[in-house]
Amino acid sequence: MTDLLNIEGLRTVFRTGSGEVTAVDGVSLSVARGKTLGIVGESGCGKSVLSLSLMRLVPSPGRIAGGRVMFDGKDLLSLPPAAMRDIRGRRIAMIFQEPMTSLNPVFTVGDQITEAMRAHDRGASAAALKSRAIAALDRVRIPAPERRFDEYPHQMSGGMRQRVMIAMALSCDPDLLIADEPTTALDVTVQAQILDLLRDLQQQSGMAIILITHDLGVVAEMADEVAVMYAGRVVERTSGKAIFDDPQHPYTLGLLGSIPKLEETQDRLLAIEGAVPPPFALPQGCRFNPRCVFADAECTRIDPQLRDLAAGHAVACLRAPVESIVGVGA
Amino acid sequence: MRRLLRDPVAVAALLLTLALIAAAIFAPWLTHGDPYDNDLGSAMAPPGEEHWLGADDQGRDLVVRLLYGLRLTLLMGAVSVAVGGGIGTLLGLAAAFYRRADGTIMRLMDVMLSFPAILFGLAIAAIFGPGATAVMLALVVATIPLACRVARAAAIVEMGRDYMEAGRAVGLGDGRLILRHLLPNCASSLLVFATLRIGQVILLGSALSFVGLGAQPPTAELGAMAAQGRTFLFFAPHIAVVPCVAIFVVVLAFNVLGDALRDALDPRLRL
Repeated sequence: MTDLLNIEGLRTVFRTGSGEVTAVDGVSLSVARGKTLGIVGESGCGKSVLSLSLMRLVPSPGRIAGGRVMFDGKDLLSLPPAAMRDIRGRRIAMIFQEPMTSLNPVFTVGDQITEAMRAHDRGASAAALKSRAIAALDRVRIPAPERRFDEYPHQMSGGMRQRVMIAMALSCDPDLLIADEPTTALDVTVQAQILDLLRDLQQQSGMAIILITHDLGVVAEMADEVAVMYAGRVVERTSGKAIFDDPQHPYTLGLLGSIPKLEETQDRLLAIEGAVPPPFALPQGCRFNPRCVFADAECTRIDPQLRDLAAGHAVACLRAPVESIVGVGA
Repeated sequence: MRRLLRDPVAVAALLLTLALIAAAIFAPWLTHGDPYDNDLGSAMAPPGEEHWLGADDQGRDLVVRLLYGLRLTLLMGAVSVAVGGGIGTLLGLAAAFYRRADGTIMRLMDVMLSFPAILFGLAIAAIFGPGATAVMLALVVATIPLACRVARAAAIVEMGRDYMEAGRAVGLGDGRLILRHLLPNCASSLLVFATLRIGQVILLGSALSFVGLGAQPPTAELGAMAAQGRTFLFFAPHIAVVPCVAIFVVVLAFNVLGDALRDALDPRLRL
């Protein structure tokens, strides 16, 4: 397959006072052009570190300890820093969770967009950059872009700022957009607008999107492929549809069970007991076993690897497919 | 800025500071005497009609000397804070930005901090000979570590903000990130620091001049003038008192202004 991005066995570790801690542990994923990969998981499961690893922006004391990130035929992890900087922004862009703090408060949004453009296009004249920036603002459906160009971030609402961030990210027509919880900090109505916008922009430009979220609704809306992460690993990988119709990993089931449904009366939501284990105190065997309702003795000994259950559906669970467990239990 | 102008004490300090700076800059046009023009006939003349603030032991008019002294003193303060603050700021930003260099830079600053400025002034004066340049050099060296700490503290907070990461994610280089994104966001802390520091530096510089390491007689410099006047404290107290009061007023103006700026710019102190 000619995937745009192919991550193979990526490992990112952090050096702490009590030894090295693995935040992303052997993750392998791929995204094709024009497609959206959703990455789902609880807080602390390594989603954000994964996205920063792709950009080679892991903050110290973290470092990428192994694996390959093949982007358009090149291994990003072995590029010299200057070449990597050229990829950032121009080929791979990123938008962040917090539109409130992702823009520098002391410059106008126009300044910041043109700065991002100039970083990759040194020769362009100021006037050309300005008209391109206004076009970019217009493309993300900001009304009166000429006026907004000269405004400061504090004069804008959260949704507007996130649009500016998207305009900035898309100003150089990247091949891949990494969106790290792009809607988490926004109102629900604004969330829908932003997701709509991202989808339309994707159709226009054919870019690939990696959408990191803990909101399964966002995944349902956007993702062609989904990877569920738990404690630094991918535990289930399947299509955006199958994750709802045919979830196989007990953790995925748990995530789905903890969403309230309109049509059914539930006394209480099914919550997954406990919390993600801290990466320095991982349990023996399957990492999910202490919280798993299906776990048996084997699960505390053997660490399951991802295996294909069906075409395009991989699960890291000893007891999958889930029908076999439920069948036995019933 | 509007917040600053609402506080009457701050406005007074601001006006006083501006007036002092203007007086220093326009000293040659405000007076028609020469600060070195002696007139032994009116030596040690008390304040009066001919010499408003009196004359010193050489009969030099104290108003003229005061304005020229202010000029030199303020210049010394401003230059040493600008140079020392500039170097210190760059080091501080670098320490915050390149965490690897942080330990080295800050330990170096700790070493610099552990030398009293007066001692350092003595050493420099011993090497290069006393003079205004030696004083400024000592003040620059004394200012660098303080500015470095202020800049580093402010920059570390800003480093944690998403726009730094966003800037990196759009492919900006380190230099641009530091100068265009980090520095302007630390500017308010640095402005407060610089304003307060000018006051301290003037005091320190005057002290160095007073003990004879700085500007040499007959140069009109406030500290040196006070030192000269000390000999005649019992016969003609105004010779020493006038420059001392001037130092007091200048330092007070800068300190009050600095405090007011901090109140206006530091969101943590807003009520």
